[in-house]
Amino acid sequence: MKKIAIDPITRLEGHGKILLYLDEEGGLKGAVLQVPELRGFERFCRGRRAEEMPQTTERICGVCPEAHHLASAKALDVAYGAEVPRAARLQRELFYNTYIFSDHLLHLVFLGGPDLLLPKDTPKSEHNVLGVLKALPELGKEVVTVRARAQRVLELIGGKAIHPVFALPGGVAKPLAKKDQEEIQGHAQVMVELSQRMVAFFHEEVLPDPELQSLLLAEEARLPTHYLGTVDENGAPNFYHGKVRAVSADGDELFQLDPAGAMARIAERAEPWTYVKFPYLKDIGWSGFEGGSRSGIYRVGPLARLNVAERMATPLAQEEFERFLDFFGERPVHATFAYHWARLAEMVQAAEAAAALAQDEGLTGADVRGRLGQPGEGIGAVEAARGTLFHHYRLNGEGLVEWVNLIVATTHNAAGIGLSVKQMAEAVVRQGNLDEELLNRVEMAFRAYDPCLACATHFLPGETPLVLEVYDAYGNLARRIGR
Amino acid sequence: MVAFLCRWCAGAGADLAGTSRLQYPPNAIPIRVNCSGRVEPSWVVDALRSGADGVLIGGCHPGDCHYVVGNYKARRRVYLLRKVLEELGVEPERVRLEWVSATEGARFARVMTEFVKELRRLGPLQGNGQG
Amino acid sequence: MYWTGSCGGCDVSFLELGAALLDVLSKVEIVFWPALVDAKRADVEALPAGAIDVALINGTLRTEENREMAELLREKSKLIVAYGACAHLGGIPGLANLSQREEILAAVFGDGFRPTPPPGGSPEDAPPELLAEALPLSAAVRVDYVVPGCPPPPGLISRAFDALLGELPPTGHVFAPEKALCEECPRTKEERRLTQVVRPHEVLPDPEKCLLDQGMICLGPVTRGGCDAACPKAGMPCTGCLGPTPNAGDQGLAMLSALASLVRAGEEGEAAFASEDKVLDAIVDPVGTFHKYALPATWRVPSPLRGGGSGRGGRP
Repeated sequence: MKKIAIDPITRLEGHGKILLYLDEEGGLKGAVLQVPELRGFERFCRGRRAEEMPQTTERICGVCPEAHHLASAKALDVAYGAEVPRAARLQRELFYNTYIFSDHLLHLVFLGGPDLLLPKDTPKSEHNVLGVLKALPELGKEVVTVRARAQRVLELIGGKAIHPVFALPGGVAKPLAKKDQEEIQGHAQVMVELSQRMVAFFHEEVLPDPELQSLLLAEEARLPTHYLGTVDENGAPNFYHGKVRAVSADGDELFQLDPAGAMARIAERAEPWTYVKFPYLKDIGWSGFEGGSRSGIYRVGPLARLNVAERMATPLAQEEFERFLDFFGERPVHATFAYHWARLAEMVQAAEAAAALAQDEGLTGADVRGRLGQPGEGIGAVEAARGTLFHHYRLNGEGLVEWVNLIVATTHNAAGIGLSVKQMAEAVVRQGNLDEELLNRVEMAFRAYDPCLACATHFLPGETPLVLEVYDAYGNLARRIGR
Repeated sequence: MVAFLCRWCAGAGADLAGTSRLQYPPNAIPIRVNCSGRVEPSWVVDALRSGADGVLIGGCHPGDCHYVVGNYKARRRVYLLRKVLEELGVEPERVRLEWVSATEGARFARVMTEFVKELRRLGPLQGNGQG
Repeated sequence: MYWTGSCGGCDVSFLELGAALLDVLSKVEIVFWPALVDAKRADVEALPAGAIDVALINGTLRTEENREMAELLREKSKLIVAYGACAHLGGIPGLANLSQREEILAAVFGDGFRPTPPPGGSPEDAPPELLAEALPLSAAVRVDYVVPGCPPPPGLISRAFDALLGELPPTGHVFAPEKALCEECPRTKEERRLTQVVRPHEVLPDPEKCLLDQGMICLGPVTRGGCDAACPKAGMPCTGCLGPTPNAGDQGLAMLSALASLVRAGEEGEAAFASEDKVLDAIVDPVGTFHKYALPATWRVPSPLRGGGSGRGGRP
């Protein structure tokens, strides 16, 4: 048997590795995604002060600390039975939408972007931010500037842009100053403008390419699964708050529950060959690594959120959503590369939502702390850029953490990523092409999820640094494919 | 075991125990300090890291400190340090604060005997000397 | 640039340099940076010893693989920089050292978890073993410089690059001010005593006054400056991510010492002991509070590998 290890040993953030196993005939026998890393937050958070949790758990991920920060705060709100005052909630929501904007922007332009945005004859070595700046100097520079302004918003509200400190059980650290609100309004406006430019660019310069269209619709990049995401009372995606809704691969609603209810519908499967666990829908059950309506495997993230939603929350995003649905002509949309387009629509919504929140008079309200009751148990969830993020804590009477469980976005998708990679690899292997093409396709399937294992690839790289190692039946290295 | 002894009270008490030829276990490495309030928690931890199974801090009785409040400061530090040690899984009994005056040679000998007995009961600190 | 057990925030921190980043990138040749270029471990292995001018390493040493990479980069690099709190002091993942490795695995996966290869895989396909404890970079290799912070603030990153591209400071230099964070904090300090300890969620602090004076445990007095007092300005106490000032020695123990000195419950004396203890009892998680980022640099875990016992109880 042959083994192909796609081992970013020069790894991605969160440390991921893909192993493909080939049978004697060269067909694909199995594909697994392995996460060879464990830091043990679930254990060492025990005994810590509850109010520190937003700052402690955000160290799980330095690319999306905002998501952990607020999922944690929301779990604490529940654990302390606290009602978050309006001013505090507005601060959190504005902060959070800005984060979604900033994070999606990075992925679209610096990570996923180069595949779509750059001319097809761009050399691989320029598939990164530098390449974008060279090929599209104006757009590239605007993106860098606007991203810096979004980070400034995060800093003004959160205290620090990376690893913010402002969220506390029942509210936030301090009221927002009037002058800070005015500054934020300016930044948010620019975020909306850039979103519009990005949409126009996508439709004028990117989407018309027939090669891209066939990729979006390719059968080997279509994976029917169930979907999970948070929606508001109107059925539009909401990143910060709402009900967690699950929709089946056939498009039927499976449930729509508060975070605690939804988390109770999820079970996790541990495999001893990886440090990541595989969640599945408990009611449907685990039937191995396969997609389809009878498998419990589901997906989260931008595509999933658009699949569970009935509409978008803001006008420009709604327009984009409609174009998205027209193009794919199915619901749910199962195309893995539709993740990118969904991300664009979400970025528009996040920018519009942030701009609206920035105008709210209540943002600078002085009442930023809700009354805290006795500490107990709490589950909180937000939609991280990559999908639903659950934090579940039990606190003792002193407000110390007794027990923690977290389900992070990329964990939900771990099985889906493995399946997409397998599908893609199968198609390429069938065509008898094991070299560069395999690497390319597998990499693209992997990257569509914007996996947090590869968080850091959000930033500068245009491509995931992968190496394939093909081993013969005796375990000897037969071939090495890399760039 | 390491014993940090203030020069005015506990240190003088130790001297008295010596000149009185009182018997007590010879397990302590004594370190003379000007005041128990001068003993930094990091010194105590350094002693434990360096192989000591216990640390004694000897100061003046309340009200007798030559620097007025040094022994009170020492008391609060030891109280807090013992909590830290406990959280780390080190028995807090390994760090002990005792008031011994210059005239209490017998008390000093008794404290040493008791503490050594206590440390023998606790056994060697795990990973001793390898920290 | 390489990461071990980290969150990626250190890699992203470079982006916060904004336009200055492009300037830095134009002045260096990147040999190896998983987040940026495609060089592999094998490419690094093929380099002659000392071929890399500077390796910036972030993250806690958590697995055998982390340690191997640190050793490999040490061999191939003239200078090693511990970048960020994890590489500098062990960081927040270092709090895992309060438990045994087996307890950590059991907490996440249930009892009896052993890493194994995937079905059909060979033994080397198993995930790497966890080290017995989380370690700062300096526990595995010689470290020449430190860029502290969680993540390092942009000002300190620039300072480090200026030095690395210009005149090198003496070995052991930490690219951050030697002065305490309090020196750059705009809050006004008055009281030099503490009659109560409060937790950040329990009070809405006065926006102008020193947080420590208001009873919050703020590590400002024992922590290096360099972040422009970002957390205290945001209404939250410093948790110490920039590491100890040169004077503080052990940051957590220095804070413990300072705090104990400040605590008062009326007139000092025997009568006040019980009430003083009550004030101190409000510090409910002293290790997590004082050693949030620096536990591995301060304490070591008992380990069967080092001949210690396997039960609870440890050697600092």
